[in-house]
Amino acid sequence: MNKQLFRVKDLGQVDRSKPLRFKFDGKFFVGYRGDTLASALLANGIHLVGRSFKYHRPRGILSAGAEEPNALVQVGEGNGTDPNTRATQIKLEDGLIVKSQNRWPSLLLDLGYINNLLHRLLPAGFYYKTFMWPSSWWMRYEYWIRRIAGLGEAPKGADPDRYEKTHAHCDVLIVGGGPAGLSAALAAGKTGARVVLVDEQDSFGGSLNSNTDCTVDEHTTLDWRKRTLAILEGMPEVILLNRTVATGYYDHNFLTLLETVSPGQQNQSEYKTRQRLWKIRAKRVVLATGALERPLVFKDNDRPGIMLSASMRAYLNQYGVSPGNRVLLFTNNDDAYRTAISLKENNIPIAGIVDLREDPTGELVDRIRHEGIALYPGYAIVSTTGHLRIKSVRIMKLNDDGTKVIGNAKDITCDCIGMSGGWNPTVHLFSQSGGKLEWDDKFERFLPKIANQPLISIGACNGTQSLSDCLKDGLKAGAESARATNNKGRAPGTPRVVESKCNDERAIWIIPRENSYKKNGKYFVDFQNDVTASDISLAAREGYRSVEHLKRYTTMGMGTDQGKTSNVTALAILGETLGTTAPNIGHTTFRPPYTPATIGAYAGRNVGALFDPIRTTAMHEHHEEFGAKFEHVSQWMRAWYYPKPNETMQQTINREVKAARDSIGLLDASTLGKIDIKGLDAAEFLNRIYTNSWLKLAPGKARYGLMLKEDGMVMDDGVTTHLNSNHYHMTTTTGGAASVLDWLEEWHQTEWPDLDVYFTSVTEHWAVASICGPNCRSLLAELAPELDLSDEAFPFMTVKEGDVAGIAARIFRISFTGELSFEINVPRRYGLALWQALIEKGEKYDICPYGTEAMHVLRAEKGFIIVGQETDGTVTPHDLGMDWIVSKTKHDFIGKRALSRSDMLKSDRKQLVGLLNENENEVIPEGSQIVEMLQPSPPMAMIGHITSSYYSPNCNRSIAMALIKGGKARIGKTLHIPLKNKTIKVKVTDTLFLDKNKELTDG
Amino acid sequence: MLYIECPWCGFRDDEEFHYGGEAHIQRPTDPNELNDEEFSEYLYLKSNPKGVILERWLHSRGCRRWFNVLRNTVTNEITEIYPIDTLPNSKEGTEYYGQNWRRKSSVEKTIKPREYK
Amino acid sequence: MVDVSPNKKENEGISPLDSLIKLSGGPQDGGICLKEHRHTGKLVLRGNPNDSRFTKLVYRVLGNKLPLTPNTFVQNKQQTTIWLGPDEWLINCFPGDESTIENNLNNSLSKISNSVTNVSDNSTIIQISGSKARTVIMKGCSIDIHPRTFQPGQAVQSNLALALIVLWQIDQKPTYNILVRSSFSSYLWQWLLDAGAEFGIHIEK
Repeated sequence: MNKQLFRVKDLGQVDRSKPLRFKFDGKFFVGYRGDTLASALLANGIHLVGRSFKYHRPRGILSAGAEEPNALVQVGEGNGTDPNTRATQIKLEDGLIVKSQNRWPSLLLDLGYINNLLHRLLPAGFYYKTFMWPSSWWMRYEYWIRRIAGLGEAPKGADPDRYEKTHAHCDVLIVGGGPAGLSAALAAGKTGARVVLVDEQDSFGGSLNSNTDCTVDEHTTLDWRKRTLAILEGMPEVILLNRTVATGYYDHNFLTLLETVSPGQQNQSEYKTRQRLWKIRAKRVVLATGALERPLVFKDNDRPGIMLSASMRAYLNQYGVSPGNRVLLFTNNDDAYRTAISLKENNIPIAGIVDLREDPTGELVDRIRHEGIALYPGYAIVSTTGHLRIKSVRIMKLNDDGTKVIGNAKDITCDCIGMSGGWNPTVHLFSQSGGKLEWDDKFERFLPKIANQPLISIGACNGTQSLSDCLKDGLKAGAESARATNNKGRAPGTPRVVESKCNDERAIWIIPRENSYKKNGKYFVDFQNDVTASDISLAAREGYRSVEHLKRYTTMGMGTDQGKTSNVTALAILGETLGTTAPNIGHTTFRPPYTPATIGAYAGRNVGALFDPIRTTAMHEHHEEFGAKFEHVSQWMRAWYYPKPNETMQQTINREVKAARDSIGLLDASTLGKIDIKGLDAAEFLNRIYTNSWLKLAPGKARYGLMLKEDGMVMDDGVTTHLNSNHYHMTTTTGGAASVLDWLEEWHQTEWPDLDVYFTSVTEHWAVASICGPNCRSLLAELAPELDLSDEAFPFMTVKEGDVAGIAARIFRISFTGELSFEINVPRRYGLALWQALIEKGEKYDICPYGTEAMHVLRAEKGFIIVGQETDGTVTPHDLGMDWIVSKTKHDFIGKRALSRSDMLKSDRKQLVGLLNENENEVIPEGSQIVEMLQPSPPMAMIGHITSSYYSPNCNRSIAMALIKGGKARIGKTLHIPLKNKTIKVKVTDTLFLDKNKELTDG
Repeated sequence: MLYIECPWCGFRDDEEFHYGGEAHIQRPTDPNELNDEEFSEYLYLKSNPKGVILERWLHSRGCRRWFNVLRNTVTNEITEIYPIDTLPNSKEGTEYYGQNWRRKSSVEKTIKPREYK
Repeated sequence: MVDVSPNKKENEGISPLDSLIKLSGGPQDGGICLKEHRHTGKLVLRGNPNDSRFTKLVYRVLGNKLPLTPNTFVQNKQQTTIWLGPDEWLINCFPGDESTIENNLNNSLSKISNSVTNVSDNSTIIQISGSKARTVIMKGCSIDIHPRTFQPGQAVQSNLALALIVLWQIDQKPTYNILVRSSFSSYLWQWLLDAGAEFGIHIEK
């Protein structure tokens, strides 16, 4: 049903030919295209839209923009639902479904309202006072507090909507599409500069849409806006973004803009975007973010129907919505007079203007007097009535200094109030950018003072009040910013503006009480978090003098609106209570985002399969076909184990580990980092980087090396091979590939630039299949018939080049298992072919592909470490028992000096040892803590932890490695591992579990 | 997000770079000559000024070159960028370099001065 | 499964995107056209550009001057040479040509400091063109590729989404080439399909 009883005929910019049906709290309503949810509700006569956070008081629509503290609603249903959304910024769409929040069972009857009667129990800081005893009950209290003091509901599942991110660059970014911003865009755009203009509302224009009582170059404000936009749209390098919030202003003119592209969850195609996050780098920024009107603080100033004066004017002139049937205005400045004139022009009854100023003057005041509207100068509202909607007010005369009300009270009936307590320039982004603010005594507000980045503030956010000044400043700022970015051109001439002059205001932060001894009623400062003037005074009296403390204690400004309508007022009240002034109090930190933003927008498309790159090797397809289970090793997806049907994981690993020692195991080792090193000084460089000696490694030979950080801690390990003269092939751990390359470059560039050496990553150029086990030589011989694979011709720790399965390969005879082993490297494109050939020809040997888990077991049986598992950045080679690899003759290498620091020589350092579980079949959980003296219950002194732990089928028992304080001295001793439900007894051993006599060929 | 001018590649977002800590901490010519305290100074003691600092950055996701930066730690303003093997040129940078406590430390006295270009 | 007979040395092998490209398709008139340049030869050349012997000898082998200006590349009939760093270049040539160029460089430069490394399989190249190519790239790359600041002949190393890339512009269409590590190529391919889907994607074999 299209009633819209409060829609004013022929007024505003909504499209009356496009009715839109929407649902609010289960009831259908109709609005028009161009409406916000708030304007559509008001057109239907609905002011009551929510319950307050703490006291559950009925609340109405206060504002028409981003500052809205009350009209927060739950939009949509299911997983796409969005809580706490400002009705004043929701573009009305057909089929929109909206619910009010924080009420039960309904908005009209809310049982939580009992909090309002219990308010004495809920003063500022009540969390810390009232519910503290008995302490064991806190969880119970908290459950109920959270239930009744709440906002909307978060969705349960994944967000179904699509969010995009994009980078952008521009010469001039203009934030705010009001008169100042539009004219800045016009001037900058005319030079040909790359301009981006953003505005958070659906339509550009800002105050031009509602302050229709002025003309620009003989045009109405709306016409000027329309013409300007048309010019801007015709400029190819100008990007206009409406419904786009500049959420954050970061370093070096980097800003984030959150654009709402479409409403979301409307059965749209998979690729339709709901929101787009722009990460924009601007050479120059023009802030034209406007100003926010301040509410006045009087008794029960929160009743539905009480709204901000300029917002009321916006609803009227922009949306053609009448706020009520009898409007009262309450002001300390001229703004309410402009609203009154608009109301009068549209024949909406006015109950009067209550003005705090003793003697208001000027053309606007004269006009009101002339129209015969009741004017109460020097008066203030001392109380209000009306539960779900304002019904009447009581006004009284103020004394000279505004501290008391005097004389007889007068009651006035009304169904809505437009109030104005002056204006706060929107300095949020300026402040986020690192700019310093300055207090302006005359209008009691913060203004931008010293910018820290290439930006300029213009218009109302810079304290400029008149339209003509806003337009003039905009043109100038636009032209100057464009010029600063090397775009030449002259600013268009300043338009001629006809407007009324606005005069001064009278600041009275808290309206005095009717009876100073009666303390009933609430004077709200922060509507969203239900913080009253007395809460602030109480906090100040209790010693919360810093504004940051006040904020956290009272929760003032901590709602989703971040105190846009309340912060400055609260500072002033705190200042008054402490006997000082707002500038001495300072202000709280302005932080991004300017208005709440959807997490999805920050995730963008980094969701699902695109969350993190999954890197795979050339043989991956085969692993998949073979039914491998995979594990993530940094970003790599590596084959973990290859289960056969009906096998448990342990059975699979046992089979794989046995096969590698009994016949042939096959491992995809492609992910190891590989660095090609060339240069006359390559050996010298390696000698400085590794702990062992590299100067005499002959061509064709390979050597294991350990790298330390300068602090002596193990950083990475791997085998490096001298391919031919001054050409080396270094391998690193899978996870260390990038950091080792960086490490080499760092030392070369910053300390030893004189060395002739170059490093090039070849990690992915090579696919690597590693075969090991007693039969692997026979297999390789079959595939590489031209190669002499005998021990004499191809000994351990050497390299050969030759064809394997018809593919040119580099073959390294190196081993990570102790078995005879060859690592066959071929260009990546042939990796799969090599693998298939090995599988095919290896069939008669029962060749067994094994995964990373079996690889771990195999190396642990031999006591080989894995960097990152046995080490954690606090472990030296000596701690690992690897003294053999640290050269005693080399004068210097990275980390050498640190190894002789006094701390490194302590005997109680954690040292790597082996552990054998008393129960041979039980595998100790990795990471378990180890104790020497078992106590009946914690705490127990922990002396170390398990680094690796497996079942070894070759040893027929479980094995483990651990880092234990003074571990070497404890070999042979028994230690304990207390777990949740039991305790494991272990014996300390060395780390060699298999092949104690070192009989394996390549050990 | 900082906008850093790589001396080779020009202005790039800071996500392309790695931070390398304080600049002009030269590795001792012979670390074995330092006592534990002196070696710890080289290894661990870093300047942490409020205001101007000289620091190293690596264009890790670009040309992989190291370079030096003069940055204000309060405002993040970058006023000088210079090659890794040179000293700062600006007045601010020269002053900071000269007045840095490290210039007077016993450790640095043992180091054979690098030949800055 | 791509058919690769392991016994044939001359077989061209498998490119990391082979299996993905088969799965895709799209409208010819889409805003985006994608293509993989399979198995091009790639060499990393290192050396001192201030040593005139080095630049002269390289010029003799390549037939064009080494690009010494950062963020640029030069192209001739044989190969594209991209500036990667003050002493580092990427040479991208026709499949199979890399060994000849590598040998020629090694022979010419044997007396001076240098390094030539075959990295042909370390990465692959995705070509992206079409009216929306720029828009798609800007979704994941922080480089300003607006025609006022980025033109054919320019190349950058940067990030595209979560992958490290080298990006160079071929023509004004615009057409770009994106060099990406082999193991990141399937991620990047899927990212490009996702980012370009709203405009329609045509995949060229």
